[in-house]
Amino acid sequence: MSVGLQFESVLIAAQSGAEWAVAVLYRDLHPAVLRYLHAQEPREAEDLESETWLDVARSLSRFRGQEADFRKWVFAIARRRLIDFRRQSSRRRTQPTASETLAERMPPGDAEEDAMEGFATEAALARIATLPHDQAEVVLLRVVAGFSAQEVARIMGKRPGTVRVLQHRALARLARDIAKEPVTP
Amino acid sequence: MYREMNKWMLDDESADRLLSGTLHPDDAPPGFAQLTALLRAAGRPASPSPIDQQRIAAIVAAISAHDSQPADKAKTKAPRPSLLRRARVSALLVAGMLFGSAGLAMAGALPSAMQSVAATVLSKVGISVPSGHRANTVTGSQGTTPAPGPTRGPDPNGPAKFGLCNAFSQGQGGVNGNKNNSVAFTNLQQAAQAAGQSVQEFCKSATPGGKDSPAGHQSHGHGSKGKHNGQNALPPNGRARGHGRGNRR
Repeated sequence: MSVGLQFESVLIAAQSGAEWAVAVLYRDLHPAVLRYLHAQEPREAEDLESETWLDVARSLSRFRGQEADFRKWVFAIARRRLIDFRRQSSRRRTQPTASETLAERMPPGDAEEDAMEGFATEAALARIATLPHDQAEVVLLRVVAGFSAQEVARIMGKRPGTVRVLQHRALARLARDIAKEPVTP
Repeated sequence: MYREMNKWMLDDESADRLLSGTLHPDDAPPGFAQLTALLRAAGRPASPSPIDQQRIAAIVAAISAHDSQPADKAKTKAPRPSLLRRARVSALLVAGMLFGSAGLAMAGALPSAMQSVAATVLSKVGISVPSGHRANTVTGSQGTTPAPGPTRGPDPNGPAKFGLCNAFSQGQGGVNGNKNNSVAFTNLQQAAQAAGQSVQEFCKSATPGGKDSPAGHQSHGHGSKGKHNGQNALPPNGRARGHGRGNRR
């Protein structure tokens, strides 16, 4: 999904407050942003996404760049909202999501057939969410948002090499965990 | 153990293909087929949700509110005027220093080393200022002009005569001290010689204020007030000061 060649005119219209243009940008990015946030903070994803879009609205008039830059910018804002939320949550000493909750989010019956034909998206995201934060973030930004390793590095403020290391660890961990699970006949 | 760890390591290209969703589970490296399927599921495009008109309206309202808040705008643009203002103040300071220095240079009021540098620099742009070599300049009533030669001094036939004579009679050093080599005293001796007199005879007719000087005779010096110590008989930059301890250039 992308706005394509018309992005520039859509952006200018959105910057001037045209509702149709805002709708185009929102419709293009909203599913991926929400999925990215939902995979990491399922209970707060909606609120975090709202805050993200309000931040986007406040700074939209100053944005300059192409569509790819806009996507990076929006995800960077979403990531900042997520980090802020986690920082505040840690100050409030809230309990982390219990493993049972994660289990509840997994679809019932993870047969090999299901795995081979396609995990349900929710289940796949829940599995990714079991990774350490930075690894999950790399995988989500790459898979859900479709960024390259270099773009992810820029969004996360890390070196591309660091991002590659994180993604290798994440993939190895996911593959190992999946292989450990008993296969349902 | 190492083999177990190595089993789950992918090369960069395979990892990129896996994460970008371009790797089919059938083509996945051994042990990664399920993971490939999982990642493809995670990256599956979300079904377009119905447009949330309320949220879009809120976004539009936020854009409009932000654009119509002058305080916010001013806040975001604050660094620019501040930078500009700082640049203006700096430019004014630099210009002030330049003009001030140029003014001082033109008045010949800088220390001689700086005056010399200023003269060299300003001469490049066609402005003539004293060079800082004091014997090379003469201060006139209209400002400063370059002196025609290195040996020009106060006119012993003008208002400076009394001061010169006074200094000559009181100064020490004489021939051995090179007093007589100074420009001022050389001029005095030459004037006395031209009048067919000794310096002492020539100086007898000198009175304070240079009243004996010929009418309309212009002196290059500022000694017309005829100070008795003779120092003001010389140009204000003090060349060949009256105590005559030699050529002070």
